[in-house]
Amino acid sequence: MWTIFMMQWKRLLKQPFVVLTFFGLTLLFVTFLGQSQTTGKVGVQTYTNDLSDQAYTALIDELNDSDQFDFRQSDRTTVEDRIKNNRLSFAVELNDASFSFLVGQASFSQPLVREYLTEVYQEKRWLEANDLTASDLNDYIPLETTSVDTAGDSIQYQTQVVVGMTLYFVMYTVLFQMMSIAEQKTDGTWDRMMLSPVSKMKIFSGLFLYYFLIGLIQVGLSFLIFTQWIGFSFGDQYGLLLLSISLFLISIVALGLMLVSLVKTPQQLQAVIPIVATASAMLGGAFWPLEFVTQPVLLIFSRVIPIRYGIETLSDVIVRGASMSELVLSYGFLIALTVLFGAIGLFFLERKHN
Amino acid sequence: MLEVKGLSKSFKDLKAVKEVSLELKEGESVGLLGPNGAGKSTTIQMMSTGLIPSSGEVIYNNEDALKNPKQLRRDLGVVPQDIALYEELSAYENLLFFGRLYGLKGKALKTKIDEVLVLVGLSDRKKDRVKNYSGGMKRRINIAASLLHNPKVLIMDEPTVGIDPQSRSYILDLIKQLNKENHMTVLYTSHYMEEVEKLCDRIYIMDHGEVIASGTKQDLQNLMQEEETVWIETLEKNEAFKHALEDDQTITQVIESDQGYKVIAEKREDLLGDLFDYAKAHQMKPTALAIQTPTLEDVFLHLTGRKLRD
Repeated sequence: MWTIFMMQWKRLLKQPFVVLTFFGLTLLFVTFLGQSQTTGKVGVQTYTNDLSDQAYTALIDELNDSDQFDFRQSDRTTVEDRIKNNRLSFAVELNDASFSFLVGQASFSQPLVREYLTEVYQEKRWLEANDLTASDLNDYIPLETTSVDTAGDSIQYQTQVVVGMTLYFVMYTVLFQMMSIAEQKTDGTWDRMMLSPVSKMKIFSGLFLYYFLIGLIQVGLSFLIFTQWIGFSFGDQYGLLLLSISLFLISIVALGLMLVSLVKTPQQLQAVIPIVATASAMLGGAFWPLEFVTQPVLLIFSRVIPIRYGIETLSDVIVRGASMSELVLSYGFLIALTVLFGAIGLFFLERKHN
Repeated sequence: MLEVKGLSKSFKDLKAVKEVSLELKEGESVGLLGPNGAGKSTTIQMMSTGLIPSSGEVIYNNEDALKNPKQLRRDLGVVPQDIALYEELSAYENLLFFGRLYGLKGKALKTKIDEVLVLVGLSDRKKDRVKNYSGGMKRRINIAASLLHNPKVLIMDEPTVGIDPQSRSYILDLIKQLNKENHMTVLYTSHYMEEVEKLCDRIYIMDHGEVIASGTKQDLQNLMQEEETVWIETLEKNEAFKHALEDDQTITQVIESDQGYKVIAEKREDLLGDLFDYAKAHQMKPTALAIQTPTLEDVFLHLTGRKLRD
């Protein structure tokens, strides 16, 4: 087992390009996306048709009480031009009793803005209906509640980016490393190993340990760098963090085994990996929170995608400080997927051997 | 020593190997000859326990090697047709890895590596990456990787495919040395009949997944004792002449090549005279006409009606 395991490291040292690339991409994307969220608010361009200048300014001030958004005054012609030139995804028309969106292209932040504006306008209506002012409201609802919620959203978003991107790119690293099995099957080195007195069990153990460790090192190093670099906090439940990452990585190795067993050539696998990794990331919530997905079919699909449970468990540990008992169900899903993928992979590998 | 009985392998509807039985006795060199697609590689994959047969037995030292492959795998060296090496690593690193798979380690492993490197003549290039080797050098290291654990049986699947004549000759001499001096049992598959003729004590001929003949070279040549091979060397080609030969009931095969025609015909006294007459009748002027000893190529042709490299 150790001979096989050490050989993989030797081969990696000779050809480290793939691993270094995906490690670099993780750092780049997380830094870019994560820092953009922590250092500033989401900018929102607005315009109005029926509000007076004074009322418009007052409404903008009120909206900018949020820690999350930076509403800016503009006019319809300007925002239309910017949307047409792809310099802006969307803008909001603010009126006295309602708001509407002028959308050029889908944006990650648009649903968040909609949610926030709905809350503010509902509150406005309620106050007007009850003949109250905002200061009266403070007597009923403590201010802290709002501020705590907003901070929570911010942390959740950053966690989403850090965890989602890290797991997405580590999937690439592990799956592309596993491509070497398909290559070895083509060039004959696989048969040479299989015909040696070393048992299949030991060969697979050596390989899987390597794939698992290379993933673990990438995630571990990435998290360590994010802690120092963008000041991200992973909480203090290191045991559960390690368990979540490990179960996710084991399921990805099993997924890789399944893919290797289903393809005939390394070229096919090379084409399949990006499709599987990106589709998994999209459906599993690595690019946007699953709360934004409304299609029931897509949500059902996400149930058989390891990255969903990887993100869920890690986010729960980091943001909520979840306990083991709260994570058992997600861990169970990850283990079940590992068994499923692994069984399919071994079945088809053996069938080819037979 | 190593025997297969009634070995068959089917891939969906394709019967790749049909009821093949063959035997390797200790210290002998056996050839497995056949054209591409004859089922040679599938047969040796099953013999080496790398592929499970649809039916049949693989027996090694009186034990069922399919049920208990460990002993056979320990004693077996397999030289695959492909260059089964990690090209990004050096020859030495490859040999270290494959040696360790067979439980060699430390000084014993290093000594053995040096020994096989001398044997294949690549001691001075051992630190070079395999990808920088020529085709012939890669083939030699491919063989070296199979010799590290002193195998008792060496199975070689077309080890000289696609290399220059010099490397080919080196490899053939090496195999002869392993067999004659190191007493290694060798199964050598090829579609080059001259290699098999040079190396092997006994030969199995395969076609369409079946063993169609076996024995020593003499045994196989005796299959043609009722026939004669005649070589007609000509400067020009004549279709009518060829058709006339083919129409002759006593002539079984006419093979056209760049320099003339090879004719396989029933043995009879007036054969050469008749051939001269055919040539004269078609205004052909043969530059040579000679009776030849049948080659394995002729035997294969006699048995299948096809050339080995068709």
